[in-house]
Amino acid sequence: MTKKADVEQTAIGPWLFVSVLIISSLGYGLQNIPFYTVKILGQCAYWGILIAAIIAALGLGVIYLLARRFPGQSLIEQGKSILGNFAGTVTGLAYLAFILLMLAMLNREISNQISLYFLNRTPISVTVLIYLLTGVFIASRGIETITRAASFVMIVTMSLLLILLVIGFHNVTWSNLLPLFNPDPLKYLQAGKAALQNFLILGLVALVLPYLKPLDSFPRFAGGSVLVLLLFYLLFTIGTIGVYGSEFSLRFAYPTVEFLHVIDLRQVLLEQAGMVASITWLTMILMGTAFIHYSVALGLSKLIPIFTYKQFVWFIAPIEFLVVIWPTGTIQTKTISAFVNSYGWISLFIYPLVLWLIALVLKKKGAVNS
Amino acid sequence: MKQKRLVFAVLLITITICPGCWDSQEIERRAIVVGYGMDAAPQNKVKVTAQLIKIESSQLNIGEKPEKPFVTLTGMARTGFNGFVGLENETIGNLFFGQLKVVIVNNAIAKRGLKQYVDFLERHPFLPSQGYLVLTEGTAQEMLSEALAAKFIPGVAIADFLDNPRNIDQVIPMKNWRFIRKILVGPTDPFLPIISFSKEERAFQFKGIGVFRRDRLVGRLSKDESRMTALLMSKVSNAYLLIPVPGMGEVSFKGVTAQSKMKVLKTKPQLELEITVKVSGHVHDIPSQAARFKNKDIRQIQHAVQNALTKQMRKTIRHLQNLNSDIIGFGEKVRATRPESWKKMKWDEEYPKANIHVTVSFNLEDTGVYR
Repeated sequence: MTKKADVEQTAIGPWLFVSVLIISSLGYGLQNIPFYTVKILGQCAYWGILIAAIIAALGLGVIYLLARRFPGQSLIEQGKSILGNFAGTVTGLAYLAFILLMLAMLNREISNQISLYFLNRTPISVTVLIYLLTGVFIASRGIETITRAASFVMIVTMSLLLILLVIGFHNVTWSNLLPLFNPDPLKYLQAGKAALQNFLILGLVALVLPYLKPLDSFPRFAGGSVLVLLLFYLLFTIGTIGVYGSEFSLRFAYPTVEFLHVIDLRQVLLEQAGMVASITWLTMILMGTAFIHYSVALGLSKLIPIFTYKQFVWFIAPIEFLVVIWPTGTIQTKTISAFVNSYGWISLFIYPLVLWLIALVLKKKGAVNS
Repeated sequence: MKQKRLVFAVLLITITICPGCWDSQEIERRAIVVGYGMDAAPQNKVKVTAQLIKIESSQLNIGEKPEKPFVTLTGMARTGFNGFVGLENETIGNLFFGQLKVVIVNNAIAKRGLKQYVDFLERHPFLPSQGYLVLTEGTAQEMLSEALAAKFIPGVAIADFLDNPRNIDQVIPMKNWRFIRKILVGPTDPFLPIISFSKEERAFQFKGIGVFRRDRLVGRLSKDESRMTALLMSKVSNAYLLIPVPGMGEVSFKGVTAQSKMKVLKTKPQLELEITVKVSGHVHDIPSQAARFKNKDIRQIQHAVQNALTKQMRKTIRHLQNLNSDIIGFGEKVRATRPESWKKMKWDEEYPKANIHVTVSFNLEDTGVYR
């Protein structure tokens, strides 16, 4: 049964929030960037990233408006307040199930990468198990531990990424990025929608927003997070297309990894650079895994209050493990990931929008939180 | 407390059973491949050669005569990767390709088209994309089997030479991934440096570049033409020039670098392009021992170099147009800056008859310690 100590009762400052959002989003987003946007817009895929950032910022705006309307409530509780207990629980469960699937695919993608690039004889289930257990353990320590760990690694990982980017840009052929525009205006919107997947993790803020103190700082830090992500995504997109060209980059399962893979350094430095890139990447995704896992467990504890988030963290781990090892290889993983990436925005940005609109029409408001 | 013990136990078990032992391999068990060669063989087959480092030969006793520190394995195959599988059966160790530094292909196989033979180089991450591809007019097997006078392992020696940007003059390196990208995507065609082995000197010599039309070898450029190509592509950081200057004899220039810029002038009725090359360098040797240069002399040297380079560059571009191979990247410029015209254009037909203007400027940076 729920013990008082196991219920999350903490307050997180803006910097910690920014750290966890940026680290988790980068870990998730860099997996597929710029594959889907390049597929639609070709060499000028960077416009898709820009449009996606604007849509993501609007989505975060809606989450903020909802949080102001229902102070101290997470999205799951808001759903119950607005839609009623039954409908709120059902939609909440669907929302969390989708995030769990998203988390599973994130884990599977990184396990596939480890298998492809480093440990190709190690069974994938072992890599998944190690990754999952570590992520779950961090998640079980609560939001404060996760955010503090994220803030600890953020500066280091981002600095290393920037250094690698600078070296990687040495291989860029600028004409690969031309022409600057696509003649079909509709494609910009399609590419923006496709690129929105890279900002999906930001939507998870709706589950943990009650811990942010003060809430008024949200627009500032959310805007800052979107800008930082935009910068990194643009650099990686420009770098990858600049090195390989739009057509050739579509051949790769992990284009950004390949962008760093051809870093032009003397052999003696090359392996070190690869090691740095790998550590950076794995750390970011581990923090992302912990954060998403925690968010789902927290959401479930709000839906089914007989268990705490700490218990749910461990309960959902075996389910996640089974989902992660379900795809038989990279091809199946990519197929499921494509589904998650195509519809993730409905869950993470449209669901809060629908709730806010209903609340607005029905004039529903939460009690002022003491 | 009970929960903490449980967590500790789970982590302990995980650490014990999951340390990634599946992929561990002792270094003595590894057959490290540093060079790989492909020669044409009858019936559309390919003769593959792998150069492996002999790890134990590094442990020589004093007075012991050094052996060749590498061995080569050969086999017949249908594709490039198919050759690996055959070679793996010839060694008791496991072939390890993570240190593959150079892949050598011979002329005959390059004329067939390399698409089917090089795909594996980029497809699997355990093969380093930064390895170099080179072309030989002899056989790749010979290149990888002969011991060198100066450096023992040929595969490593070739990669070391190509790795150094100061060596880019008459040879332009080509990495695996760049070559594959060019043959698959275009419109820029690939090229490969040509290497040969001198049995007298027991050393490698680079002899210009082999020019491709997509994946097929269609011709070669001489050493001088290769140098001009490198200048036209801004690939040079330390070129050498020997140019006759009136009144001074044949003047040598070193540390020559170039920055080129292309421009599409018009696409109709005939394609017209302009390439402007800004070259700079310093005097290295003047046979007449000329000193005390006046501005007039400097201008004379610059003028002589400009004229000579313009002439040689035009000749090189004409040669490439005759081969219908666009290794410099004119097509890429048209695609990037005139996308609408590019869509309607048949590049294979337009490129050979395109009018390409060359403008060269030369900046003499210094004349040595003499004023």
